[in-house]
Amino acid sequence: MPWRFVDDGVTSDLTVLATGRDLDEVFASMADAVTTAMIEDPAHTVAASVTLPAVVTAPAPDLLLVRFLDEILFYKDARGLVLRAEGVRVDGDATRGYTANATLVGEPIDPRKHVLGADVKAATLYGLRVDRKADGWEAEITLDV
Amino acid sequence: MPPPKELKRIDEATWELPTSFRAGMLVPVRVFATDVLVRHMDDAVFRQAANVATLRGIVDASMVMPDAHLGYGFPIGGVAPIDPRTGVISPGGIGFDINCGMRLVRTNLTLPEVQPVLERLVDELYRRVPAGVGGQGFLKLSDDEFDAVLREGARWCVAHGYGTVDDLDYTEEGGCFAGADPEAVSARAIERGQNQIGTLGSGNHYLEIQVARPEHIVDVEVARQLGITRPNQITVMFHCGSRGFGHQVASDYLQEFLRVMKPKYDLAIVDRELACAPFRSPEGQRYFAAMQCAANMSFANRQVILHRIREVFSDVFDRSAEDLDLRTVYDVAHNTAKLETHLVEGERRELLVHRKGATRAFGPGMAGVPAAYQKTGQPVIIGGSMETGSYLLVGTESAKRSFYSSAHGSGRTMSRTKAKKQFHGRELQRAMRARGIYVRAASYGGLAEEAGSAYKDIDAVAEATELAGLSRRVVRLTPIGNIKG
Repeated sequence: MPWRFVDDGVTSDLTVLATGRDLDEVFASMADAVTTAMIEDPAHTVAASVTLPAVVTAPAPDLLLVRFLDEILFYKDARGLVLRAEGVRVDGDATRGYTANATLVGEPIDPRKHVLGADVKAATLYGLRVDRKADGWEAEITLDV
Repeated sequence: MPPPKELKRIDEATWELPTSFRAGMLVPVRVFATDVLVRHMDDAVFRQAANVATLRGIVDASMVMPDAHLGYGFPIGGVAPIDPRTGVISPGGIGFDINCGMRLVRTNLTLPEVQPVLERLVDELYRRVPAGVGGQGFLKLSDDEFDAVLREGARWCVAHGYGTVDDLDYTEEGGCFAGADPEAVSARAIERGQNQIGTLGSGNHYLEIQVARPEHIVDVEVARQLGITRPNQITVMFHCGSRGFGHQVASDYLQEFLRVMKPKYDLAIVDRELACAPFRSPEGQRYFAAMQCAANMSFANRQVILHRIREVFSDVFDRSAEDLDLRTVYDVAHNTAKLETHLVEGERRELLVHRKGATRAFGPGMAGVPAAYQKTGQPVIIGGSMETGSYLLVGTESAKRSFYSSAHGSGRTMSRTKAKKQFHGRELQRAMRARGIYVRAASYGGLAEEAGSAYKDIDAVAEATELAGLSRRVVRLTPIGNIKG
């Protein structure tokens, strides 16, 4: 589930490029990128003391991605939580619309324990794309920090 | 990339892109910048400003400030006056961080008095003004209290002991946008923002202790009128906004406008980040009311931060804030849309002026400028990078050409990702300490991203701002202590 921050992305913010075999992988990668932007190495430093369900819907995969990442950002501000996304599943089609399901796991942000990064405030529509490729899917999003 | 070949120079610091630059432009693009700044501007700035020129109801020009760089929808440093009767309101013309702004506070302290306790001051400020990811403020507000903050802004803070009436006098709009309606705000936005009052955030937000060196005072008389009277006088400047609350308001309405603008209002846009609704529509009015709530939350945020600053200075110097003359010079927004009256081709017209990454800059004698500044013009604050310094300017009559708008910062030139690879946070902190700037940061990665070299030359931006007639330099303020998120 590879992703990377793009060097020549939006100067004032963070642009992320992610690829995957399917939308499940791409969305999981993007969630990992958002969490990593805020807390260094979340896979090894964020404990799973809190579990929250996430279910979002949208008419298209790109808007679905924005709403999905917004869930992580919402809990960060509203409850002070850093969350990783597990079991990400994306279903749907252009006729019925799309749904993303995941379990968000994590713990309260603790500057004594976590190495803090950027405070991601929004997933934006700038340059937003979720494209089907010959060997899977590719997505690009810019995070407002 | 060189600027577009269609860009024509009008005078030393004014350029125009004609409506023929791209299909659908209703007005030209007007760029206020020197030759050097224009040559180094993102090519996206011209493209985005041309997109703004296609918005329904835009009047006179889509304007670009000297510090402009790529934004979402509008460029950052973009200004658009729109006819509220026929035109639209667009969250992309205001920014996600609604009423992100600057406050400058003066003291009667001088550098020799502060230097010995600088580290203690910065450490205490860092402790009492939460910064960085997940930072929560000390104010624990009930739902009703937060509702009151959204309606009353900084006035609520002053009424509850977090500031003085004097602070309100020197805050744009008296610290309160009058049309705020919390009913227009989602529960999700309220939940995001309720614990964030009194927090700095991260990114380019900062709290800085500065010195006004005698050699950096450009206009001694105006500086005196703004309270900068002593050699090496200490000031405090901070930059922050409406935090997650404003972002949620913007995201909510961006998505709502995307749903309704074509089927309901036959509005076509060239960039989804320019999603908009007719200003006089139910959706447009609800967003305007919600945006004003976010603006008020931001005024309250800066007011509570000032309260904390007063506490810290008072504790460290064992003197009251009054005795230290810790007073607001001015608090100014740079991400808003406001209804203002302007003269257009000899006719006085009410316009909805979108300013994104642009500061209102009213000239001398104008309504809305505090009585004490009627002769000088409204103070304008251009925040620079943590290494280089910032400027205090004043509004001018000649700024009518930009609908009384001015630059707001120095503008980034390097991406955060690239800066993080090029600079090392801890090394940068040591190097800055050696140069007399003591920095505390919630994130060393974030500190690296904010290196001075990642920004435009602040002196060039301030000079261009003055050359274009948008405002006039008073003093350059040099950092000696800084808190970053």
